[in-house]
Amino acid sequence: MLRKEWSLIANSILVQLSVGLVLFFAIYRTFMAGNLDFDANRRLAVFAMFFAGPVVIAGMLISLFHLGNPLRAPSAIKNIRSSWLSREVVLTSAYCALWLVTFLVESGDGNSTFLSWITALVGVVAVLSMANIYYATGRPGWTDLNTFTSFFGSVVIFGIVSSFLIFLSSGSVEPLVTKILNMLGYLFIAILFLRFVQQWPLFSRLKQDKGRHISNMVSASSENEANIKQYKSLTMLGLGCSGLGVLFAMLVLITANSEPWAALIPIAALLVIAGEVLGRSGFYALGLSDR
Amino acid sequence: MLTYGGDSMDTTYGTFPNLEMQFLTLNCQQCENPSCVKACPAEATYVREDGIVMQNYDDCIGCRACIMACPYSNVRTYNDEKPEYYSTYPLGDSGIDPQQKGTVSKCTFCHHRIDQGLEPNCIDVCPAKARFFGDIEDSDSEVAQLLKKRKVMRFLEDKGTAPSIYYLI
Repeated sequence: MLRKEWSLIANSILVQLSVGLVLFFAIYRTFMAGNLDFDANRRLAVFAMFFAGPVVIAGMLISLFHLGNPLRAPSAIKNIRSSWLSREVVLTSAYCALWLVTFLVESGDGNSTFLSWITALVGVVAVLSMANIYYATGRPGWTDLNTFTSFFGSVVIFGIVSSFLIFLSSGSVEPLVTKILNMLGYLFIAILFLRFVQQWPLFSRLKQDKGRHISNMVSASSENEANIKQYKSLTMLGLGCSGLGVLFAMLVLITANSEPWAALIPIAALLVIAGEVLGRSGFYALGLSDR
Repeated sequence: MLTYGGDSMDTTYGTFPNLEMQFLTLNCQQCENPSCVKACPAEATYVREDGIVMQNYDDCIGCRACIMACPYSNVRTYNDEKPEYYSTYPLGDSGIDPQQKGTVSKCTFCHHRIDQGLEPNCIDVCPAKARFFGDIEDSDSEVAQLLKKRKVMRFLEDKGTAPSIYYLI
């Protein structure tokens, strides 16, 4: 059922990953630059700032595969007046351009903090446009707070994952960084918990009267039993994967990033990414069909 | 064409002898406040001066945002494959815009026939004379008269799209 929508799944995940990287880069540069050693600052710049650009560009290129006529893609910006999709394309393009400028300033040893905040803000608004594409459709499974929790939750989760990778990759960890990573771990758990508890009212709404009413027949909402089942299983699997990932990450912290536990960090990152992909697949299963 | 009855086309529901089945045609509802027009990023879907919601295949990028935005079931079709025709020209009216691969198609009220002063094909071909077409703002028109005399309904009015298709019940 989702074979045609792989490009939408990949596009949304990659854009949110990129925005998460830039947002957390901006936060660390603003509040922690003086407390990080040279090596950590360099890793932050390279990993967060460098990768953010290619990731978002890859996401935008992959989204072309969703179009029936990719060569007509530039026309997608014609309806900023009312189309959330047009707005998302414009904002993501602006985000790409701002990333490039910020990266060049950072590479030239300039102070990119202010620029990184502007870039992050534009990225966040781009993610808001992306979420509104689906929220505005009126489909019960998408016209729900869950849509925003899913999209913005991914931004924050990817920022947290990148933090663990950046700061734990050097081996030893300073006490301040350990404290921050602990807080981020709890924030991650809080996001997963919020996503989990949001499912029950959503499940309940999706199950409402599917009887033989003409309005059910003419309605385009494709939340039939198969879609709902697929959404439930993918969402729960995704939450489980992400949960396992954050547990591994916290275990590495508890053991002070010592061997052999340090080897769990890349596994934890992969589990979280897999969890996000599964959750997003479930999201698209809820509103799209093969037609 | 939808079947209000069993789980697939032309099937009934209920227990014999108390079976029920009803046919329901559902084309583009030609909404006055179309959500598809708002959603289309390329302005390939737009409202003509006379209120017909048009689909321009040459502008359509095939993003399917209109399909996601439309609250009605199956009124838009995405042409995943190159449309095939059994003859060397599209069946039906040769004046119609040929459909294109990678674009979304929908009913446009046979705008090419309306422009010639004719009625849409579906009005002409209905053997039961169950379909009517006209200007409801013209109080002398057949459709305006029917709306006054008969009980009518519109589907999914709560969605706020103000559909232009009225069903006589």
